[in-house]
Amino acid sequence: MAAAFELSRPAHQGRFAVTVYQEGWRLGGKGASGRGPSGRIEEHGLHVWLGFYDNAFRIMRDCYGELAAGGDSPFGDWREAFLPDLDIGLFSPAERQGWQKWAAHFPPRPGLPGDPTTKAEMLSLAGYIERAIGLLRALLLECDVTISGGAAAPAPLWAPGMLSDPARLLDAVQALLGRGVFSGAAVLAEALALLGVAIRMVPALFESAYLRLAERVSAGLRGWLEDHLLADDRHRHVWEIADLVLAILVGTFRFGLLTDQRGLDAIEDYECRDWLRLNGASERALQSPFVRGLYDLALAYEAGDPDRPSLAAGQALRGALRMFFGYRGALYWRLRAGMGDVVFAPLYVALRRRGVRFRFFHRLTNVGLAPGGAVAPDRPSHVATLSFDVQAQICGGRDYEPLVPVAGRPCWPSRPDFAQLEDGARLAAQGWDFESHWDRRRAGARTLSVTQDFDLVVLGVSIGAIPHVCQEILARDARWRRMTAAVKTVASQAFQVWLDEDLAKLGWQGPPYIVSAFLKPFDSWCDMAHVIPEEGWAARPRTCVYFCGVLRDEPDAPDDGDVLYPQRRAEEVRRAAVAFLADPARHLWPGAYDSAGGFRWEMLADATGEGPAGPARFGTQYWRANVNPSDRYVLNPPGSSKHRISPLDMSYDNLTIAGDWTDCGFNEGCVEAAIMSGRLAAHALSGLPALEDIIGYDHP
Amino acid sequence: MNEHERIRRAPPGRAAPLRNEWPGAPADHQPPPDAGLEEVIAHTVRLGYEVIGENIRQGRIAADRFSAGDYGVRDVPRDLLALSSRMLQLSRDISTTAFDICGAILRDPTLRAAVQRYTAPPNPAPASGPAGGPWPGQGAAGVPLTYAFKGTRRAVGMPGWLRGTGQPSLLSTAGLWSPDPALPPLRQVALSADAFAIIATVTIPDDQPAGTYSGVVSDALTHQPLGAMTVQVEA
Repeated sequence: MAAAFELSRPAHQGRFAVTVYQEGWRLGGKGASGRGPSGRIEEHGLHVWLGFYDNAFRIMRDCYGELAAGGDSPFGDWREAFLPDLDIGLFSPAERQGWQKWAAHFPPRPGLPGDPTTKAEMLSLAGYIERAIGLLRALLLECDVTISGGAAAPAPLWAPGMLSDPARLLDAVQALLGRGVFSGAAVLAEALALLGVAIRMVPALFESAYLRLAERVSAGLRGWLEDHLLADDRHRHVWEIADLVLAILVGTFRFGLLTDQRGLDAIEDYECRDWLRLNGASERALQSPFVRGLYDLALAYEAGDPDRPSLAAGQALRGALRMFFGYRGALYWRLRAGMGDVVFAPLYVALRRRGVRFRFFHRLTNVGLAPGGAVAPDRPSHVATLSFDVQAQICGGRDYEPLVPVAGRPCWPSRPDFAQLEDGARLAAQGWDFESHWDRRRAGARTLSVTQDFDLVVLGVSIGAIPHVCQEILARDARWRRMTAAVKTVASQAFQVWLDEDLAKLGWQGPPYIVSAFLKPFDSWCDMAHVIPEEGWAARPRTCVYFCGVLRDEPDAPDDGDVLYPQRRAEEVRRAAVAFLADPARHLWPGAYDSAGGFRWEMLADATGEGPAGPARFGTQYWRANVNPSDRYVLNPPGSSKHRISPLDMSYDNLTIAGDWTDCGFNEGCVEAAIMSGRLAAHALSGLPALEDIIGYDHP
Repeated sequence: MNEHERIRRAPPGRAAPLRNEWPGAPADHQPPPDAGLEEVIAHTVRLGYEVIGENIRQGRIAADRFSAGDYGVRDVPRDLLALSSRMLQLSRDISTTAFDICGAILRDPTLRAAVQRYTAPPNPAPASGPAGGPWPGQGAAGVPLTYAFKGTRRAVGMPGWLRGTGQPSLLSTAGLWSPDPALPPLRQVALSADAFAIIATVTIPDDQPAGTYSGVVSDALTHQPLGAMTVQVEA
């Protein structure tokens, strides 16, 4: 969609006639959502947009602006569609007994995501490290701990004048290094301040001195933190975060990252926890809820196995630095309604207005290459044909009209409008599932040929679908084979419940932020009460809550003939969700259980008013297993980034690729990566947008 | 679509992100891992001189262009601006003022001789820029784009960046167009260089319909797109 949006911009003056071929009845892929009974929003999972998603926000701001300029837009202003949030939380088993809740408030920052950004405004790695040191110092000073021994606070180790005198700064570093043991909060705070000042200097010259200083500060600080904070549950998270920041600090110098031309890619072959461990992080910090929460939010478990966490260190660090230090406005933004409603419906309407054509119910089956041998950048080929299954014909040969109004806005339905399809009643009765990889029923087939039907191709399927639609490419291109082997995906599961009582009544204390690091399989959840007014309930529930997590793969991958596979996995999710509500959820919502300890199923809102009692009532809620190849979440395991292929790659002179699985500069499964990739694909075909305008592409 | 000659993508200028533009000191200029304090400071000073030398070298190229070209009063060379920007950055990065170092260089004949080695331009400066070229185009980092409007209508321009070409450029545009093909385009767009940016002066007719209008700025010689302009004409 991002590529289509870029290529159809008026600035191109109609140079590209864009046609989008889409499987099934709705746009969005992993980001698609639909409207079910009572207009309720049914998502693939839990989506929030982080405050550094500048490219994603740029596109949406342009889209909303364009629609508003056209007059009478049902979508309103983008600021009504994205709601800022500043709090995140972790809720996890405590070390000794019970549960611990950790919440953090991130203050608003100047600007808004998607504001024009110059390269000079992007932080360098040195800039990030300086902010991390500042965070560490603030955490240290925030802990009101008496200095042991009652020693007088030392004189400040640095003075503003040092900023104009490197020799004095180095003198201070040397003096500090000559002190022996670093102990005492005040000395450590001063040492951190000195390190923070030092980092502003030309890094190449001082790396060995910095490294020694960082290692000494780190050792002293760890000792101090162990003495003062470890036994204190209230402050343990400070210790854990400080421990991780120290490891990052030491690792940055030890691996020469400040000056390495590869930036953080230099450590992309390390698993994140391994790299942190290598640089002194403690096991306690590595297993802390904070780290687990980051893995949970990134669904970073190979094959969905919680015992196989897998996250490449470079991208993990890049993501964390951008998330915590690179956001504008708010740390993250909730969507007013579903991803489909807030993102893909406006994009669809804007693209239609620009003249982009959509061909729904077209499932890609093969990308055909021109005859020849092995393909590589120095032996390029091109796409000669594109083959599709036409899943359904539209009545009268008309365009399919995919949107339905809910609460006054155009939305995507959760089911296709069979009335628009030829023989639609029969297809509905037979339960044709146009989004199931395993349902191959079709109404026809169609093959497009280069120069006759198309000139250029943006391949926007996800990596999980590549083995099914790019057999010819895989047979002839070793790089594509390596990429599909290295870039892993994981299935995910999600459920949503609509409740007639709000979270406070259920016993949850605190703001309704996104919460992670809870028990598997549904470790992440978020209160979504704000979307209720966008739904179409006759009697509104008090809230709804979304849960998600990874879904473990079965030992053997299903074959293409296993048509019942999606239903089987969905049933597995249903059972897991019922079991989850029946017991583990009591730690979150003690008020949701009756005096006998049973979950009060009658709280689940049911529009029909005829829902069954007991656990069977969960059948009125929503759940799903994201097992389709193209629905699987894209991972970034260590060593995989170098096998990704860029949309700018020239192995195929009329093809580019788009998606969060490509080498797009931010190699992580998220909407920002997908949109960066789409913008790169547009650049590959048209020269626009300029690479410098793809925010964060040129980033350490 | 009628059959025609197959269209091929043009190779991109580059195919990978620039992860770390700080080049670091050349390997042979790095202090040894166990360097003493004096040696580290010596390296600091050496690098400082190298950076200053590079700035002086670029300044000389800019001055040569300035004297050889036909820039108008408003067309202050961006080379000189880039130089002053680098000097300011230098003063922040090296943490001593550039002028102090310059002073030291000028006072010390040995250092002055050393710096002169860096100040010789590697290539002769061009005799003149292309006719009508408003933008020296030094460096490929990009230049900000701002807007000025003529006419009685209110309008807002979206500030952006134009890609640098590394070569002198003659900017051109075919006007600004609405996504609604029924609306007339804004055809009177003049591009000029100011001290800090490229200015797109857009004339908005009194009867221009409200809406968003976009257009491409390209290099008239190579037809390379350099960036996009977007303005919103208010009702």
